[in-house]
Amino acid sequence: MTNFFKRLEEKLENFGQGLESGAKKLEDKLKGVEARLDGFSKNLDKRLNGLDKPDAHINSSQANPAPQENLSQPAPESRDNLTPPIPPVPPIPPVPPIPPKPPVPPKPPKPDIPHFFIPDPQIPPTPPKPAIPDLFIPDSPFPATHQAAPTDRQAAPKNHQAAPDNQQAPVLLECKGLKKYFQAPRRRGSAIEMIRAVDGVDLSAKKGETLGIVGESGCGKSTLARLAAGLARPTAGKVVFGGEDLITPSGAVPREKRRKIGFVFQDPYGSMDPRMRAADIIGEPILSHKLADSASARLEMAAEAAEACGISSSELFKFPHQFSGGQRQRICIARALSANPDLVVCDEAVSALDVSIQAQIINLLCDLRDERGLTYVFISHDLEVVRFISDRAAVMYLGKVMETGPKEELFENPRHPYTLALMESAPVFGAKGRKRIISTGEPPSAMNLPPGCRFQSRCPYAKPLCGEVEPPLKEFAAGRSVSCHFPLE
Amino acid sequence: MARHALNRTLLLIPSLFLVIFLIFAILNLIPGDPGRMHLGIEATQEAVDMFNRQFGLDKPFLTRFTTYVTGIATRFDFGLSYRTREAVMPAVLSRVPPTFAIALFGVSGAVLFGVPLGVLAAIKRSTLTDTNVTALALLLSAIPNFWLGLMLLQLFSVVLSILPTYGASSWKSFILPSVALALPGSSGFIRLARATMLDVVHQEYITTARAKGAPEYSVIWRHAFRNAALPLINGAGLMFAGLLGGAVIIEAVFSLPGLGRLMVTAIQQRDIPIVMGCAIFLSFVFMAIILIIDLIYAALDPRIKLRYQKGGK
Amino acid sequence: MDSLLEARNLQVHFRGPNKEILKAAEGVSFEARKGETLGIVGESGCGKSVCCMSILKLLPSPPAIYAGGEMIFDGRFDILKLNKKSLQELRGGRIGMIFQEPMAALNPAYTIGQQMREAIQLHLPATKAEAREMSCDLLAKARVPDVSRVLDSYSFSLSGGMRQRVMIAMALSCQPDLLVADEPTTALDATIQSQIIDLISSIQEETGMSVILVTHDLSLVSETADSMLVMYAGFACESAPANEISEHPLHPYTKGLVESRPSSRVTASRLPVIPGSVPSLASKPPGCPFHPRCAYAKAICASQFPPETAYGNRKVSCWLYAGEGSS
Repeated sequence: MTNFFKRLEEKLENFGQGLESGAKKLEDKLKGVEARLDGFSKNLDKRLNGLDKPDAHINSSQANPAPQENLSQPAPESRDNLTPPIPPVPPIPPVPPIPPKPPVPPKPPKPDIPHFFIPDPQIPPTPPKPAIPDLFIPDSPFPATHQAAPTDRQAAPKNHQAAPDNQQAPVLLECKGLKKYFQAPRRRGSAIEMIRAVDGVDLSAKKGETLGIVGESGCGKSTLARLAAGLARPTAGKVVFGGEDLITPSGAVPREKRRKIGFVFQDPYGSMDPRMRAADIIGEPILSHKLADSASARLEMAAEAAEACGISSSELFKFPHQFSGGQRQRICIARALSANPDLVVCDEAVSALDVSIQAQIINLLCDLRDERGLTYVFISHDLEVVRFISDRAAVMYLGKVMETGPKEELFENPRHPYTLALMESAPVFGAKGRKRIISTGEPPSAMNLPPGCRFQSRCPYAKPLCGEVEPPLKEFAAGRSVSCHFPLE
Repeated sequence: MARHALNRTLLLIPSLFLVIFLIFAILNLIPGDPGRMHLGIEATQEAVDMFNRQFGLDKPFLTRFTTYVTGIATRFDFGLSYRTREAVMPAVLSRVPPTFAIALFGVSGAVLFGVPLGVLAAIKRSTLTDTNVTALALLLSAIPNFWLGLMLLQLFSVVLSILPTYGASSWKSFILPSVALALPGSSGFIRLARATMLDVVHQEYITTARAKGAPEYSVIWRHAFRNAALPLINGAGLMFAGLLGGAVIIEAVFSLPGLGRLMVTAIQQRDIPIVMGCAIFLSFVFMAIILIIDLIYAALDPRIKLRYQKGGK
Repeated sequence: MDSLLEARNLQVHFRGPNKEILKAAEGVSFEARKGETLGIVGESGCGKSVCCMSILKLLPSPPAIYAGGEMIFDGRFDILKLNKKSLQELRGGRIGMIFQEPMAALNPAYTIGQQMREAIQLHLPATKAEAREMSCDLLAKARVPDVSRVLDSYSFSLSGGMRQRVMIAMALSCQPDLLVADEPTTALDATIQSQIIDLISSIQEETGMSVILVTHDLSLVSETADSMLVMYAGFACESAPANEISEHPLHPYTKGLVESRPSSRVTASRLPVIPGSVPSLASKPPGCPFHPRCAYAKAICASQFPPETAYGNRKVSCWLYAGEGSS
């Protein structure tokens, strides 16, 4: 090996020396030949101009060798002064006198705001009683349906059949120790940082039940939704669907399993191809899972799904931009249902809609669930919506589940301080001047998580233990678990 | 930030080396005997062989390339012109000033004329002013610059006789070529300025600036234009670099001893060293301008600046 | 109570792409009293943003036309008729405004300190150092941690809640009499939302300024506002003190909004809904625009817009009440 390098070195040295000597030789040659070429060119010019007979040999020309200095002079070109004359520098104007400083407005005294600010209750003034006609009718005239058209006002609301007895229903979806880490964009000279979007999540949903996941932005619920639906591959942990692993050892999700999971996205417009008609959008899952024999059968199935979602089949030929927001979301829901799934994952399905349309879509989801016995995983940041639609709920914060349980118990008696903070921060209708606990600070960055509990920096009940050991998700009652060292009573 | 600038500057050298190799390879692997091509069909074979030997053209390719590069690196020697036997690079550099001048004034004129018009069209969108300015941009882009040059020459030099007709004699001789380059070139800036300003003027921070009580000119120039300026700098730099080599026709019309004419003449006369010298010079200028534009971008756009500073954000 | 800002019969039209006139606000009247909070509620397309931008005449003028009405400030002058210079003094000096998307509302090319300095120096004669000191005080008042670092950073380095606090500090830099907030918390998380609302309330108590809060969140408005205005499709439906609207809504649309919130029917299986959807500006139904969706619609609702009926300090525009009460 060393021989090889030695020989290479020698070769390079020789090459370099050869280069140098070759360059020198060439230079000398060029200089020496300069004179002869000069004479030759002069002869050539003479010949071309004077039309003399061509000479025999160049070598016999006796031109004088030109002095060496001429070679390096550039061809003189007449060059005038290109730059215009520089104008004289104008005199510096005198500095104006500095005006006297006007008085700065006096600073108001700094109020001493304690960390946990509880405003004083405001006593609302007793209003005088004007003679207002009584419009309050106990049974609201507004129908409890999901139908968009005003003509269907008389449809009676269906009763929500309570999810079949939870204890006996089989578990349809189970997430075990799910983790999903992303690599943060690297800056020069800094180490690789991982964003721990989902950091060890255990959840399960029984068949026919609606699992609600609530949390703020950045808590990882959207990532969790994609993991549960098989749209993303977990960094660690596994998703068990119908008793089997969702992702095969080769890393793919079998097509049959994909058919059984539907997904509804948050942005109704962004999740549809603007160049496809509604019928094609809804029929695409039917096409890719080969559920229909012919195009007309596919259209029929798509129309059926659309009717169930409140889109009349006469509108199916339109493009997405021709529909309103609520109708677009209906099309998305129809698309999620067209292949007859067992599980539907709704990632903030109603958050982008107007308030009055939200109620329609929520009703629609409930109707579909009861008619088809679907299982929902419903993700939202809106506590009220999750509380209405789900049977069981889980609260997430910074990639981990803080608390789970049946919805009545969870929202009546929250055990985790974060659940309490969420409930306190949601505004309550008609409660002007209510006393509420306002949490301070902001969530820490998902990249540099402090050791211990993730909520400790904002928790009013934090103790030293919370800063050292991360609390595990412990089940303390049937179906109720909380991840806190000192759960609330 | 300074370290980043230094890195980018040092990266120029290997890029330049690659460029020199490509240019040398392309121009020296053209089929045909260079001696024969230069001396003509009537010259004798001995003359051609002599020529080839003197210029080292009978040596193998790599030797010639190595000699060439060594010459550049050690003595800044780009060889000798076949025709005049003078050093190439001084000849090239002597022709740069007129071209540089008209390129600079041309771009400045195009920017100073086109950008305010584009900004005006963006502010007054969909009104008559906007339509007029867009039509003007279309008209200007349709005018060939050499025709405009000829017309200006006719008007100012022949009829009115207030500006010189040819040559690079005084500063007056650069007015007409610059105008002939600036006016058609400004159409691109009108459209670009209008497009970028339209993007920016509907952003919410412009509304915030108005809501703070800022006067309208401050809103347009300090807030909106500051964010819209970067693509314009890009365009200006590239137009300048393009004009350095591409203003050949204008140089011909106004008889300016510029770089473009030198290159075209050298190509016609098969004077390969001059062609190589011009090509290498232009490549270097292009790379330098792109580097400067990148650095300006980094200086003006805080997001890019932070990325190159250590521990940014 | 003195009225600080009174809008009378505001009419704002837009010129559509096909040269048609779109009426974004028709005959809207509201009043913000000194030291009180007015909440303007409505869904998308109801014209609430148009109204609050008209307060400072911020709508871009070629598409927007101020077709009628007055905006009387402090009982003295009409904002819509002010000349440019006075308008610039008013903006930021007497009336401050914050917007929905704080990321888009801060200029990415300048640091926070530079933008705050501009806000201060536009109205107060302050030097660079004085402006920086005032900015530090303002940011501290807005409960921003690590003030000097924030002043030297750019808007994209800050989180959403922090940006909104910076916006609030900037809007309050000249101690305005009125703060107009256009959906300030819609883009924020629930816990941050409550912090921001609490911040605004505490500053209001301290300085006695008035607040106009525009939002689509009915619960938020009912909790924080003193009086409320409900808008639909460019029309003002109902205005009343907040607690009275919550207990006893008069207009059918308000009633529908109140009842279709999920929290109103926690135990029911389905929510009551307002059928149909909000009409677009170009295709507003004639007469009362709510009548196709209204459970109480009468024949006259389709032909004429109802006049305003007043009950004490409550006003409602509905044919169910027109003809009774004192107009």
